[in-house]
Amino acid sequence: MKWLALLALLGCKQEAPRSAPLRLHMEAEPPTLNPLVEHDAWTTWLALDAFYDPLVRQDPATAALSPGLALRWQQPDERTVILTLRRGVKWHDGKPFSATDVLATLARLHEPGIAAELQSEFADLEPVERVGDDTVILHFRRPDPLALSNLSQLPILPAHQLAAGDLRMQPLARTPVGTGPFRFLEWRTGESIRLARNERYWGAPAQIAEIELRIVRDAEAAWELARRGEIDLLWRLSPAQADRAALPPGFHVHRWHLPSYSFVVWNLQRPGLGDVRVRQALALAADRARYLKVAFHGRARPITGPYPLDSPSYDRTVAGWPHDPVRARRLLDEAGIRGDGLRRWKEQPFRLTFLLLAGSQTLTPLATMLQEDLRRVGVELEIVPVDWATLLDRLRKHDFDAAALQWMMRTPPDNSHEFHSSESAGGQNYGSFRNAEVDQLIDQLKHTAPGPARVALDHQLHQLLDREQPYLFLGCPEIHSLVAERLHGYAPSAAGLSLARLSVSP
Amino acid sequence: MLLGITLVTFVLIEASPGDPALVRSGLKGIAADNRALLGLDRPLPKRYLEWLTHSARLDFGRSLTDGRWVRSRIAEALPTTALLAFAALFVGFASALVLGVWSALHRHTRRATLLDGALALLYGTPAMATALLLLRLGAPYGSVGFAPVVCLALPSLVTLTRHQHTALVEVLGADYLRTARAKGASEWTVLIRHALRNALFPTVTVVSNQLPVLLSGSILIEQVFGLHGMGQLAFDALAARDYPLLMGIASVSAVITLLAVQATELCYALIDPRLRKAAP
Repeated sequence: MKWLALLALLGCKQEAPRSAPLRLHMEAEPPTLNPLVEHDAWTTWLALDAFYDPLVRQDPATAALSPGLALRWQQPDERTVILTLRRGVKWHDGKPFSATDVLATLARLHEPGIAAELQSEFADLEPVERVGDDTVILHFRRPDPLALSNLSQLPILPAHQLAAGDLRMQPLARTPVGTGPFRFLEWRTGESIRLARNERYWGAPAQIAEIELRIVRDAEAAWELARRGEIDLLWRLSPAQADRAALPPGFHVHRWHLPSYSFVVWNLQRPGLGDVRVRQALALAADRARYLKVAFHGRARPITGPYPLDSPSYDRTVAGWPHDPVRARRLLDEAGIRGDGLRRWKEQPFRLTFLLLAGSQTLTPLATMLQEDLRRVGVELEIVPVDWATLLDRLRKHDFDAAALQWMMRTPPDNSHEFHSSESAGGQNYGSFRNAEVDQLIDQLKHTAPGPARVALDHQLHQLLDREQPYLFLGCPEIHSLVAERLHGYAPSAAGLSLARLSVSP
Repeated sequence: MLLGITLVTFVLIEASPGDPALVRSGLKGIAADNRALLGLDRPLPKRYLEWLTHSARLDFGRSLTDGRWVRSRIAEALPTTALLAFAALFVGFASALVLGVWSALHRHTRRATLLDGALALLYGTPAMATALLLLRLGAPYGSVGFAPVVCLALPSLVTLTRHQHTALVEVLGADYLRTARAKGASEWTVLIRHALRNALFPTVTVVSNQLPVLLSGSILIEQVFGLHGMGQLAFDALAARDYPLLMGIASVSAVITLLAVQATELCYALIDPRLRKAAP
């Protein structure tokens, strides 16, 4: 063994001293760093957490708003937002920030290639009015109670860096120039992205002078680098790593929840699945408690609807569907899906194709268990692992019976894209779920400001979705981060890893 | 031949499921916009002819994923993989030559059987496990060093050793070796000049076949050791259905493979003077 160790060490780089920049693990390299076109989680996090600032900031837990690049705001009516911009803010390249930048960023949101979520959030935005250098007025075609919340998700980009044409082809895609607490230093493809503290930041300066995001695709290699002291934070451990009792010395585990949920979407266009009794039967056949225990290693909280568990919008009175194969069989009989062994729907065997992302450590065992459960009630599930591109292609073409997916949830919750019937053609309603009551509720929610009235509508929607079962709701996964003891202030959330608040003990 | 390879690759990529516009849009995306933006709404033959015209000037276009020039993305990744693959090829060939000759000369002995067993064990050990073990033992991360080269070389080393062993055993009983010994040639001369020279042919053929295997087989090694090479680039391009990048990688790989075939022909001529004389 000793000679192997010796051989392996040949050509070894000298270990970086502990005074080196803070090194965080990045499990996948983002294609670009332009948040207007990219939907990658890291691009969004870095945009809002490091390089850029939105006009207003929103606390992901409480939904409270605070000033960003806009110092003050007013909403004289439900269709207008007046924003007074902060003065004296400079871009990282030294140029002054002004209303021109806000106008330039908002003007790009309707262009082809812009991230779909931003496009839909600002679909009703009319041309922005500018009053002097520090005031902008936003007009919306229809009342938009979530306008300020949407603005908190929109980083403002520098007008002088935005040229006409595809934003992915422009320098800003790889060398961000923002107003945020960190400025971009270097991107070494396949290796790392480095950031340095913005010494001229308008807000509270970042605690750490330099951060290196180390791109390590292999989870075990990342663990090994943490063990060697070459990485200070692994933000998301794999289930197998989270199970390990022995942590690398000088590390602890931080547990938290991203506001996301895993589910199985049923394609209602497929024979049999359009009948609500069939979907309810499938929910009764599935032993979700076992899936969460085995596939999610016990690290997921069960959910019954598309709302964050800690949010008031989550209706705790909805108990969900218990595991009851006897009742499942009865419902399938009632729906006309009968037969000994494999059931038949209108003389055709009732077989479902189940798409999942190939290689997933969670979804693979989940699919096998779901297959076993459905076989017990006479339904055959054919498991089809596919790569990401094929999965997207087949979802968009509605070429599946069932698929395992995960959605991120936003604050305040908005389920319009997932469940509104208008989204089934080319949108995110991949299961083609159509329900007039649900559509009506979603339309009402679009024009209802956050507050008790909105919460009541959310509860109604939650109950309806539980009854209709367009999804088999599974759980909200718990994330385990491996954090170096010397690292302080780690408070991850949907908004990012709180980079500006991180500090290290000497 | 190159033209045929590019045409087949282009058609295969287009025919495979998945759409770069969808990958670019993501789960929440608007693909139609992106298809037009990427120029994917134009007819396939037109796109292939355009690609052919541009690639003749070594302009493979821009990556659909990040908008960078395909040429520069390949130039960034190729040196790492080339270094890794050629080093692995050299280590594999040199070691196989020594081990193959040794095992042929000591065949039917316990030591040769032990070597056979060890080689079978190495062949059967997943490259991932070996790579992670070496990493655990302190192998460097992010640079082409001894560990990634050995991991990549191991399967070819075993294959080449077996070929070298078999080829030499076949030659060792030949009449012309007996003649050479009768003429007073030393055992060393008989082995190197007469036996090994003839026994090298099959091994050299296998070596040339190993190069494309090493180029594609480097994906896993690159991933574990954090090397930004062609394997990783090809994997990303395939995952994103990045057509221009895939076509660029396929073209470069095809050229390298064709060059390897030519290099093999040259090696044949070097090993056997009769082939040089026979050449027109």
